[in-house]
This record gives sequence, structure tokens and C-alpha cells, in this order.
Amino acid sequence: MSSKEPGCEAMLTVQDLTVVFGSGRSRLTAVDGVSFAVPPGGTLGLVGESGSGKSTIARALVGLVPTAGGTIRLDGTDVTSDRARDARSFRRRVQMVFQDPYGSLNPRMTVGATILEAVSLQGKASTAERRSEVLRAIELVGLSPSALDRYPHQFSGGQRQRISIARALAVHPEVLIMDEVTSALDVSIQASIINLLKELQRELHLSYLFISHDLSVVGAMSDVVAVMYLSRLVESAAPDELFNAPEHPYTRGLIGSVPEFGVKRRRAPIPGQVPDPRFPPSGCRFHTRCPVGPAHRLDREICRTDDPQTAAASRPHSAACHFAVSVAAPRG
Amino acid sequence: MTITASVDKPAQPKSWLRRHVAVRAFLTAPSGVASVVALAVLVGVAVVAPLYLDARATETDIAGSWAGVGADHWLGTDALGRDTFARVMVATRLTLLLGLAAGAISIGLGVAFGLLAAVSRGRWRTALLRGLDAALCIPAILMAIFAGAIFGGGVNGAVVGVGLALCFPIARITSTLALSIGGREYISAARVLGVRPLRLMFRYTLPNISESLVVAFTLSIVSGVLFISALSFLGLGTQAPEFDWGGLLSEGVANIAIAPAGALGPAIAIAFTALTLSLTGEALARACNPVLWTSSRKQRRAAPPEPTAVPVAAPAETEGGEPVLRVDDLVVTVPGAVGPVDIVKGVSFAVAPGQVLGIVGESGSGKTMTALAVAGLAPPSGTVGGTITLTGRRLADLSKAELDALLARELSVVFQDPSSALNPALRVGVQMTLSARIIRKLRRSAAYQLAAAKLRDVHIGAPDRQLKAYPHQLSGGMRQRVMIGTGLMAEPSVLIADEPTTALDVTVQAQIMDLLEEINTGDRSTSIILISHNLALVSQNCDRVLVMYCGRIVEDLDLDQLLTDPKHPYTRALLAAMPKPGGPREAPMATIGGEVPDIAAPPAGCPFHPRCAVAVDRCRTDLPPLVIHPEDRARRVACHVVEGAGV
Repeated sequence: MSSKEPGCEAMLTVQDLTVVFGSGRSRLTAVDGVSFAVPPGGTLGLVGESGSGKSTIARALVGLVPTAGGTIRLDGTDVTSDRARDARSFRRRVQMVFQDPYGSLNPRMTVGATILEAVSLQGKASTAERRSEVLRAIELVGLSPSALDRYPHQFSGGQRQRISIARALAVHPEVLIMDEVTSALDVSIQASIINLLKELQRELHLSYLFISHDLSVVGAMSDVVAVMYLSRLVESAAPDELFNAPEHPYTRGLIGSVPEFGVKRRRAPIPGQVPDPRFPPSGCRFHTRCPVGPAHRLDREICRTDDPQTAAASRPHSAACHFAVSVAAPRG
Repeated sequence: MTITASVDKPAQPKSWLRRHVAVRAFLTAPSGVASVVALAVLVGVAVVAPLYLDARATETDIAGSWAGVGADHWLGTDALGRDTFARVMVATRLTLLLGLAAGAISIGLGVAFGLLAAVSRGRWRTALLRGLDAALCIPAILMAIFAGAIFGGGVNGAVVGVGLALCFPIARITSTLALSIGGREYISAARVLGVRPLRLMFRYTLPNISESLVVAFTLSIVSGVLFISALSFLGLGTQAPEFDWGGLLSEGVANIAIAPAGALGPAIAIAFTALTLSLTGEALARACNPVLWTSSRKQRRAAPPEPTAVPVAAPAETEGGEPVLRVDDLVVTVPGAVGPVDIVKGVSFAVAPGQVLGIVGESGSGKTMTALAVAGLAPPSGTVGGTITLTGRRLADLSKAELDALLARELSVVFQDPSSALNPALRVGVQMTLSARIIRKLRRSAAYQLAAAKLRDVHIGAPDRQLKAYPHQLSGGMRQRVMIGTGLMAEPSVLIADEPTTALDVTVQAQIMDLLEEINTGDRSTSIILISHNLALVSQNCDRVLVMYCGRIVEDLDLDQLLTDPKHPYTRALLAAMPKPGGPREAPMATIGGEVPDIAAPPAGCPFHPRCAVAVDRCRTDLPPLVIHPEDRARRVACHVVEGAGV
């Protein structure tokens, strides 16, 4: 994808990012050579199943876990070192919103104090200035200033998620990293949060890295969707292209697994389980479950032996598949 | 985006800039008032008694030794004729000061040690935690004696020794609590904002563990008083002519045969202090936690009077004869914050043999509680009303044993989270065969053979090996297969699947839905009730759908009707709000305004009216009954506005 030429076009560029947990026998490469770029004022959607490493990418980007390799650039500036991403100058530009609306706000601080914490770290001097910053943040997310006096438990899940967004916006960031921000919400609330995020993006020219396991939500949010499987990126494309002409068999299976209203379901398109990420399969990591892989076609031994990642950049959608081919997703 | 007009109330207090407004919370608790009064008594005595009673407490009067209880000496006198009551009162000051000092040392050292262990990393953390564990193994009293002796006997030595001895349990509690909240998202969020470690510790970690620490502090003051007493008894604590309650107590106990009241005085004083301090601790802990004293979302609104009973249309007639499950006017009531709350308010439906019935709704709609009540799993504190008929037998008519047997044979439940629904301490085989062995009295080998067959049915390879596995050795999808296999052990007529795939990945979800379909279309043609928040999933797998909102069914319709002609505004809104893969991205998504109402205090009239786009005046006052649609006998709908549904 566009990250082939790292640089000035993208807001946030990640090249060959690798994150490793543990050592010895419990060594786990949670993110393995992932490259992508978040467009300025646009959204990169990252989708994958549990254990694919998508949340780890988010945590690594904001410095919550150390990286083991690769480069990270913010608007052209190298911020690869963990120290660079710990600096206030970085935190003012890149913020994160978390999944759990019940767990991501300090229950012992009022909403106002929580947002004030973010404002103070920006270094605003006078109390009046800080107060107006707090009011600005809470109004941006569509809550009334009377919310500031109350504690998190006095709000519903959707309102709490708005508060979390307000806290992140209080530092005037340019990039917002969002990890499953709608997953814990009811359907009717989820739609209003998505609308809010889109409006904020337009008004404040924010760049989003939007992470979710839900293909429909990622599709609704993103300009580019990247699909992860077992610590790696397998394909990325604009959502329309990805949904209508997926190149990678895993993407096809994933799209086919999403229940769609009123469309008669076919048999489960991907058999088996995600392998243990500590011991990933050789060659193509998907070959153990691939419906068009060596388990079904004798002439495809290459999938067991050769890593399709190496030539991915030269294929359409950067698909990490030796036999990448556009086939309309099985959707009724 | 709804940007609210600048500041709606300019004069409103900006209390969010202050930290806690907790004093009032402390005082409004009954334990707070009691502890303030008791503390005032203690402090008053400690201040005043030495001023007025010192003479009586220290004057010796050999002639009056061992006087009994009387008007002159309320608790008698000691060997030197000193008034015991006066001595107890006068000793209050020294005792409390010593206890307080020891408590302060222990909490200070303990919290510091504990936090140090919690924030240190890798080997340092392990070493510190193990060191704390080792220190905890030494009896505190021994350590106090040892440390007291090192610090040179006397009062100061005793205080330091006891403080040191008591700091280790506090350190262990602190480190355990701090580590347990270390992974919370609000800690991560603060770190992403750039909150520095010290501030993180004092604004985030400590406040969230303060409740337990306050209690630990007051308990360590009490222990301090007792330990110093013990040291005094051994000659390491207070030395004559100083005296504290511990000294008085040991003297009194030694002479209990001569002057029984001599031990009683200090004992009562110590007990009173302990009680006061633990009350204080409880009230302080409450004041530390705003969740306990600010109104929650639930309590803020006063509950409106519940409307009188609304006639509920009987379930639409099922094809294929006798329904396998019939529920009439089911009401589930549970205790709430301000009184009993109906969380299921008169639900009626029927399930035909071989039917897949979907129940959809958002959180708090009562969909799960409906199913749990049918399965006899309503919370024990709640009550269940209405009639449930399973395979032709009314559950209310059965004895406890008959009911258990019927439910075990005819009805199974598969829960949302397979990892918490399986007992982690038991092997899969034991859990699968439990019901068969107890209810159907199968022998062990027969039950295991049956379990292996069922695992094969749910497509688990090498079932004999998996029966010996523990749940944690299986993946999430495998665990859910095991749950379903367990549910099939008795070949039930009805399988209730409560959000069976919500905790699973989407590719595994597709596999599990295949499996449920197989069960439904298999030889037994088991009826399935599929509870889900996901309308797409329901639309792909169900024959009939109940849409629930706020404890009631708002629409009951066929799959075809759901796909082509949903009538209730809520059903329509829910469908519109669903994100569709590959759907248009430019236009904003359809939303349902407002919030899901609190089921304990629903809006008057139709509970959906505040969020409804087509509500009329009548919707705000009258609850629409669920009625069979006059032109469409296979549909029930509860709406004043839907044509033909208004009564």
C-alpha cells in the first residue's frame, strides 16, 4: 500500500513495525513487520480477529508497549524511539481512545477533573483559559457542561465514550488512535458515536487509526481498510474495493463470515481455529485454514514453504498471498 | 453534532475544579455520625481526663487497696489504692497517642513499600514481593518484641517496633491492589496523556485503592494499641510510673481473683476504641468512593407509577400443533435500589417444535432475563410470575423434583461467555456427564460414551482426549462447542442460546451458527431460542423474531415480515442503525436519538416515545398493548401509530 514510499504524504507512517513479548519459549511476536500509513484527515481502518495483534499496534504507537523493530514517522518526523513517543510533544499530537467505556475513566475523578488533567498537560497557564478548554472539549462531543460536575458512573456507556473522546480531544491532537471504541455499545448508540467521530474529523481535520473486529463498522469509518491475521497484515484497500473484490482468501472468508441482514447465509467459509501465535505456521500463516491452500490443492506446496509477505507490496491490495486473485466476496 | 449553547447555567458551581466534595458524604452516613460522636468522646476523654483525674489516678492509698466497686471507686482500686476508673480515663491519652503513632508508622511504611513493589519491574518486583511474603510469615508480635528491643525498649522503641511489625500486611495489601488496577484502561489512558509516574500514583492508583487502605489504617491503630499493651506486659513498652490500657489490663488480669473490675475497665476501653476506629474507617472509606454517595444514573429519576396491567395478546397460533414451549404473561421482578423492579413486564410467546425463535433487543431490554426465567434460572432474589408450559406441562404444577427432572431433560441453555460458563477446576468430561449421571442415573462409562458421541456431533475431533482436558486447554470456539454438546446430552426439546457467539470471533461465529442449524434440522429437530443484539445474525438464522424493548415485546413477527415489512418504529430504527459492510460512507448513519431508558424508571406511556420519530400525544401517556395485527394475524405489534394496531 501507500507506505512503500515512507514520507511526507501520510500523517502517521509505520514501516515494518515489530512488537515482541516475553522471551525464550514464551516469546510471542505479537506484531510482525507491519507497514501502513494513516492519511492526513482520513481514516485507516485496522480489522482482524482476537489475537491478530491489532490492539498491540495501537498500544505500541502510543508508547504503552515497547517496539522491537521498524520505524514510525509522524508527519515526516521520526518517532521510532520509545523515548520520542513518551515526549509531551508527541502526546499532544497523538491521542488514544480505549474500548471499555466503563474502565477507561478514573472512577474517583469528576468528568471535569478528568478532562482538566488532559488540558493541564498541555501547559495552558491561567485557570480561565483551562476552564474554557475543558468546556470546549465537552461541547465538542455534544455533552452539556453540567456533565463536568459528575462522576463517570453517573453516565451511560455511550456518554462515557463521548467523555473519553473529549479527554483525547482536549490536547488538540492531530491523530486519534481508536481501539474498539464502539464494541461495547448498543447498536443505536454505536451509530451516533460513528457519526460524531466523522463530524469531528471533518471539523478538526483529524487523522484516525480506527481498530475494530467489526468489518461493518470499519467499513463505515475508513478510507483504507487493512486486514490483519496472526500478527501480520494480509491485505489493504479502500473499503469498496476490499468488500467487492478481496484478493486474499482470508479477507474473503472474513467478509463471508459477517452476517448480513436478509442475506441467506452460506456454510462457514473458514474452518478451524486461529493457530497459537507463539508458534505460527510456516510459509503463509493462513495455509492451515485456507480453503484454496495446500490442504485442498496438492499443487500449492509453496504456501507451506514460502512466505508470501516478501512480494506482497508488488501485488494488488498488497495481498500477502501467492495466489491472490480478485473474486467477489461471497455475499449472497 | 449537537453543540450545546455555550454555557447553559453561567452561575453554576464549578466544583469539578475542586477534588472531592466528600465531607458531607462522610457525615450523612449513619456510621459517619456514630463514629464522629464516638471519636469526640475518645478525644474529649484523652484531653480532659489527665487534667482533672491525674491526682486520683496516681495518689497511693495503701489503706484503701483492693477496694470493691462502689460510689467512691466506680471500678474499685488497685494494690496501691489508686482509683482504677481514673487510671483508665487518664491512660486514654497515652494509649491513643501510642496507637496512632504506631498506626501512622505502619501505614506510611506499608504503603511506601507496597507501591515500590508495584511500580518496580521484573526481578526487582519479584524480589520485593517475595521479601514481603517472607516478612509476613514471621508472627507480628515476635517482630514487634524484637524490633522494640533493638530500638531500646521504652515507649519509643515499642511504637517503632509495633509500627514496623504492622507495616508488612499493609504493604502486601497495597502492592496487590495497586497491581490489580495497574492494567485498567484509565491508567493506560492517563499514561497516553503523559501523566507522570508520581502523579499517576497519587491521583489514579492511591484514590482507587484508598477504601481498603483506610480500613487497614484504622485496624492497624487498633492492633497498635493491643500490641503495645502486650509489649508493656513484657516490660518493653510503657514503664512505671507511665501507664496505658495494656499495662492496666495485664495488671487487672493478674489480680482478677481479688478485683475483677480492675480488668473490666481497660478491656471495655480497648473494645470501645476498636469499635470506634473501625466505624470511622468504614465511613471514611465510603467518603473516599464517590460511586457510593453520588446518585447513579438509576437513582436520579424518581420512578413514575407503574401503569396498570395491560392486556397482552396471547401468542400468535403456531403451526404444527402443540407448541413445545409456551410462555404466558411472564413477569420477572428483582429488588432494585429503590424497591422491586419489573425487568420483564408481561411477555407471552410460544415456540413450535423445530422452530428457531429469535429474541432481539438492546442491553436492558429483558431478553436474557426472559430466557433465564423460562429455564428456571431467574436470580434467587427475584420472583417470577406468569405461566410457563414446557412440552405440555405447566411448570408451576410440578414438584421441585419433577421440575428439575423436566428441565434437565427438555431444556438446555448455552451462555454467552463459554470461558466463564465452564468450571475451570473440572475436566470437560466431568462437567458434561454431571446431569446425565445425577438426573438420569447413567453409569460413568455410559455417560462418558454419550458425552464422546455428543462431542463428535459438535465436530470436536478426538473426543476421548478432549473429555480429559480442562476448559483452559481449549480455544473459545471449542469451549462453546463443548457447552453446546453438554446442552445436547439430554436431547432436549428446546435449546436456549443466549448470545452464543458474542464473545467469539466472526469466523468462529459462522461455525457455531452452522452447528446450531445442524442441531435444529437434525433428527431431533430441537427448537432453538436464539437471543442476540445482532439483527443480521437473527435474520439469517431464525423463523420468527421477538423484538423486545424495556422489558416488553414490541413486535413479534415472521422472518419474511422482518425482512420486507417491519412495522414497529423501534424495529425499523434498529434496522436502519445497523452498519452494513460496504454501505455508503459519506452520509451520516441513521441513529436512534437519546439513550436506552433505565428499566427501573421507564418513561410514561410507550417506553420508546422519547426516541420515536413518529410519536403522537397518546404515546406519551398510554402504554400501547401488544395486539395481534388485524390484517396480519401472524404478527403482534405494540404501537399506537402503526396502522391497524391502535385499539
